[in-house]
Amino acid sequence: MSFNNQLQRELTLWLKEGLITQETADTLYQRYPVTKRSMTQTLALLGSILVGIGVILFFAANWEVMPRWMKIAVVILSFTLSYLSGHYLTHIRRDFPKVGYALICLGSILYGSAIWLIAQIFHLQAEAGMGFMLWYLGVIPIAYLYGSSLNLFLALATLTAWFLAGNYPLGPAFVVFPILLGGTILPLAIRKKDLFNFVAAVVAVYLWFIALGTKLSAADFSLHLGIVSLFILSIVLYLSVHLWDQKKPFFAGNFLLSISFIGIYAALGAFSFNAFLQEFYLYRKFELLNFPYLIAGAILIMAVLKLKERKVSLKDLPLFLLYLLVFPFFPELGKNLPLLIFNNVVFFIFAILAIYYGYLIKSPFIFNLSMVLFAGAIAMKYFDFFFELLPKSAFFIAGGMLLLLGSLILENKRRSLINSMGRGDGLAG
Amino acid sequence: MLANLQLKNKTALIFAVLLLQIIILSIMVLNSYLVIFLGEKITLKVEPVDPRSLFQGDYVILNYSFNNLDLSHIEHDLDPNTGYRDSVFYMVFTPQGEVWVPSFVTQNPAKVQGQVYIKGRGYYYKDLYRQTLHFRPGIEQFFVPEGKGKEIEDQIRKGVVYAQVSVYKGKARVTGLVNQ
Repeated sequence: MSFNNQLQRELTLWLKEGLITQETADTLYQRYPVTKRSMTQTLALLGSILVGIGVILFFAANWEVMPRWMKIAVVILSFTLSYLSGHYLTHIRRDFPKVGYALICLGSILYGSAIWLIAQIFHLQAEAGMGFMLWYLGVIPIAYLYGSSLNLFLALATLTAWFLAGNYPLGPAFVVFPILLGGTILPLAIRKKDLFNFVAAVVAVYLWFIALGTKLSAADFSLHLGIVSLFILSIVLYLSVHLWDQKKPFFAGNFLLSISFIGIYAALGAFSFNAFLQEFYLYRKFELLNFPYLIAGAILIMAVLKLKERKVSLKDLPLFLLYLLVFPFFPELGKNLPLLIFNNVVFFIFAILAIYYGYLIKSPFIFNLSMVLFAGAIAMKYFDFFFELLPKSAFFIAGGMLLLLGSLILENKRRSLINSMGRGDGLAG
Repeated sequence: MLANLQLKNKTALIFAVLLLQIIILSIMVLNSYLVIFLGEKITLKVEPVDPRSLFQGDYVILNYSFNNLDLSHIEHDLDPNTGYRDSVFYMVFTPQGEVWVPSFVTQNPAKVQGQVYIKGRGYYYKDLYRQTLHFRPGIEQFFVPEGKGKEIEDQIRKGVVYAQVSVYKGKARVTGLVNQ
């Protein structure tokens, strides 16, 4: 169990026993904030994002069955409940902090959906106007209040979207954007040592430079100035990333492993689509396209050697490519439904094992990368199978609620789960 | 830092932020309702097409005659020899039968007081043949229920379609589409 987990458990116990006061507990909680992201937190965040997307799509559908005032009331009530329940779980009850922070994030997304709903009701084009700015103004205080990275990212994304979508002429917007970026986003990212939001903010500065260069060149100014500035900014970014933490390389030493993970994902993912299978069979006569069999053959030799030495472990996930060897046994013509089902099952088993692998080797980078790839796989399959079949909002909301529920159960059972995985600390923090 | 506040203060602050968010949304609603309730109701001729917004769903783009206006037939005080790039314009409307049409264009708000006018951004240029004002007051979209865009578009293509618009102190809001 991580120090954070143990501290939280002990503090709750001490409070119940009357050994310490609420104020002391608050001070201690804040002294050791939860910094690492766990599987529970990631699942809860994914759930929140899915529910948020579902609600936005629900209101985008503009159904006439619900009167306007009721739509506004429902969305305001939703984000109020989301914030308050998140606050309750993180700061009052304290035993579900991860789900709590995810609910606070959901509240911020729902607040954004309210802006779009109101703009829709009054037939205003919010994207190009103030919609994103109003979203930013509502979200940035939440980011500061909870020190929440996700809310900070949402604030950064909405601020940048306001600047880009507005396509403003050279004028106040070009001054306001860097002031807000430097005055609100960067200070919190630096104070929290939040490398992700820091890099995202620098990317936003890049975008500002590009927009500035475009406008300046349109106004017959020198484009060279923009290019030189961009070059200087690149060097500043490079130096700042290295100065940030010299002990920690940018890819946390897992660059090659990550690339190989992405490669396997891409291969398995591609073979899980019928259209790709059809093409694959169609062009298989060309020798170059038979390379998967060569890879599978090499892996087979490795697998035999490893099995012989009984050294097979989760670290040998690439052995999954062995499944390519089943291809010659399937008929080539028509829709290969059994093969398609088989490929999809293999793809998702790999995706889930990859997450577990990251969790097992205590590598937040591999873990998060696998989660992102898994989310990508879900999204791909959603669009492939369900796009035409289900109401989009219902699908997202149902999926998100399931993830939130799953993370709630997971957070509750975290201790036994960690014990069952045979680990004492690390990612669960 | 706010994250280090005591619980009591933090709980109070979350209510304050909630209030801020609700105030922002209320201002959005009031800003539009004010125009609809207090504004002059006018009817404008439009031609619709059917796209979709990612966040807001299906909508119909409304093309008005004043979106691309030949100023050689309309009174204005703009200098044809000056290029107006992404500038603010005030367009006065007067009734012509049941439909309201643009009658005067200016950049001086004092000249349009007491009249029905719409404020918007645009650009103005003159070539050998005409003086054109591209005017965008932000009322070029009408949101419709999902999947009904095409249906509504087909219906309105059969007849002549007009937009019902409320105008108040230069702000305009589309309140409906009608076949006449």
